[in-house]
Order: sequence, then C-alpha cells, then structure tokens
Amino acid sequence: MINDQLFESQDFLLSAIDFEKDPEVDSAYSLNLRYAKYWCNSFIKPLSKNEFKKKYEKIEKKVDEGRNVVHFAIRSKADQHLIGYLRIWMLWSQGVGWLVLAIGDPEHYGKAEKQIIPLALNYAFKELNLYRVEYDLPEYEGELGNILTTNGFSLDAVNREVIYFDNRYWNELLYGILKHEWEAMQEVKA
Amino acid sequence: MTEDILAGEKVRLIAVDAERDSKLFAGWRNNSEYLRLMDADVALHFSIEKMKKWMEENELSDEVAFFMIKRKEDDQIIGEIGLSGFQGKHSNAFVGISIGDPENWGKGFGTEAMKVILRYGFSILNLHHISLTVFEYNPRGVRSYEKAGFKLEGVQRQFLHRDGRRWDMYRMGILRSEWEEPCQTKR
Repeated sequence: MINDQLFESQDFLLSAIDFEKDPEVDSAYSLNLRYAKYWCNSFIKPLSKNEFKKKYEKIEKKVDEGRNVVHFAIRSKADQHLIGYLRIWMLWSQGVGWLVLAIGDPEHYGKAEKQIIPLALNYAFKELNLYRVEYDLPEYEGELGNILTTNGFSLDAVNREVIYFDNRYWNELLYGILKHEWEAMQEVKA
Repeated sequence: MTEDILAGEKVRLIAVDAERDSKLFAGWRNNSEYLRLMDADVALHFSIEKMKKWMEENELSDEVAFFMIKRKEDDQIIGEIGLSGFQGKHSNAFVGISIGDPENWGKGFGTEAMKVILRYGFSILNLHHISLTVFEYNPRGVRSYEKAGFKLEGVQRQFLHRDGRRWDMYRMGILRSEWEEPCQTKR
C-alpha cells in the first residue's frame, strides 16, 4: 500500500520553500555561522533576506532542471515555523545519494535531527529508490554521528582535517548505509 | 566551539541588506569628511538607487565579504566592514588523474605527475590536505597513489554499480605534514 506519510514526522514537516516568510527567518538563523555554512559555497557569512531569495531561486532551478537534487524546507508541525532544510543529492547512475541536514532553530537541535534522519532514509530508499545513502559530517557536528549510527549508518571513511572552521582543522566523517541494511532495521522495528 | 564568532562586547557583524543599508550609506555619504576618511576616490554622492544596485551586485559574491556593524545596546547599524582582495586559502582539494594511451600505463608517469601536483598544491597553493577517490577494480591506481604518499582513509562500500554488480570506492588522502616529511621529491 502506498500509504506512508513521506513528509511528516511526529513534530516536523518536509515542505516547499515559502518565499514570503522564509527569507527573514533564514537570515536570522544565518547569524550563527554553523548554519550559514550550509548555505555558503565560499565565504561563510550571514546572508540577507534578498540573498536567501536568490539562494532559493537557485536551488529550485537545480531541482527542476538538474533532477539530481531534492530540497525540503523543514517546519514545525505546530505552527509551520521554518527550522531548517533537508537536501538530498543523487548520482542516479550508481544509485547513490547524499543527505544534507541543516537545522537553524536552536530550540529544535537534536530533536529535529532524530526525527528527520529516519524520514530522509524512508524517502531515499522507498521513493528515490537509492541503493546507498551517505552523510558527510564535519567532526564538530559530532552529535549527529550518534543519530546516524542509531539509524543504521556505518562510519565508512575519515577524511582527515579537510575542513577548516573556528581556528582549527576538523575531520570529515563519511557515513554510509546500504538499502538492505536499512531494510533489516525496519524489520527489527516492526 | 566558539558559538558566536561574529559578536563582540559592543557590536555584532550582520549581513548587508541592500534595501535597508543603501539608505544608510546614502545618508552617511552626505558628510564629505566621512568620504575623505574612507576612500581615496573622489568624494561624491551616489543615489540610493545606485548604492542599492551596487550592493545587490555584490550579493552572494565569491570575491568580497562585507558586513554591516550593528551596535548591540540599541541594534542601530553604525557602519560597515569588509574583506576583499583575497589571495586564496583553501584547506582541501580533490585530485583527478588519467593517462590516455594504455601504452603509457604502468610506467610510473602517473605516479610522478601526482608527486608534482602534490608539490604544487602544498608549496604554491598552501593546501592542508589533498583527497582522491579510486575504484576497487583499479589496483594499479591504488598502488600508484600509495607510492605518491596517499593513505587509505576509508571505503565507500558498494558505491558503484557496473557490469551487474556493486563495487567499493576507496577514499585516499595526504596531509601536508605527511608530504613534508618523506615525499619531498627530487626535481
């Protein structure tokens, strides 16, 4: 049966970008450079409302034309308030995808990741039909590593000191999970 | 981790907002003393529209990092600060290599080219780490990269789907400190 709620967890929703309301919220979140880093390709810096609008236009264009990425605004179910984003990049020929999860609202740190990672895997394996899903985690976001392993990811590689942030080099932890590993975990849960 | 890198005791740096800040700039620029302190260029007014357009052109720029300065006690924007004229500093890069004619495979050309580009990456570009990926079915590549000084950093399990089966992809890397020790090759 196709009755899964792909876009809903207990407290959060995966939804479309709201061009009216989201720029102001994202702009405020981006004062925290850990969050800004998820939106900046070169300099990590806070972005203005207008810059966020341009970023949204860019990612929507990529989703539409490239067909190798999906992007969701994550909202609190209670009041639709934006709290961050989930993005999945795909390399279709190999059936591989990469998750990127950026949470801007400090009130939901931890809780959002715990609920969104299972939702992202469900979507990746059941809707995108991927075989392997990866997560490249900067070591300073270490808490998310525990959530990934709880959800069946293995630490596949440690890319040593490839990230520079806050006055030092950090490892990038490359986590991976295969479809049959995820399926086995669903059976245990059921 | 430093939680609030852009905040000091009295001020905080925030993003430039073209709509809001073009008006501020146009106002400040009415004071010729301000202009003559901040710029060697001819002291001159610009319209709000012109300032806004200039600011919008710099949005999401890869070449400048400008901020507005906000006073913390009353949230008033009191000035601007920015970096430009960057002379790049990157921490990591991926290297890719191929030798075209199979005649030239397995003769050490690739290994030597790799050693040369490592020297370039570390001694000229000031990189901290160089990464590469290589497929399970390319043991010749793996040997060559090991000879050039790369270390295995992990395995992206079953990354590839070719010829009806899955294959691993290896992640390899070399740190500047590892290159500096034994790999300083003779020219």
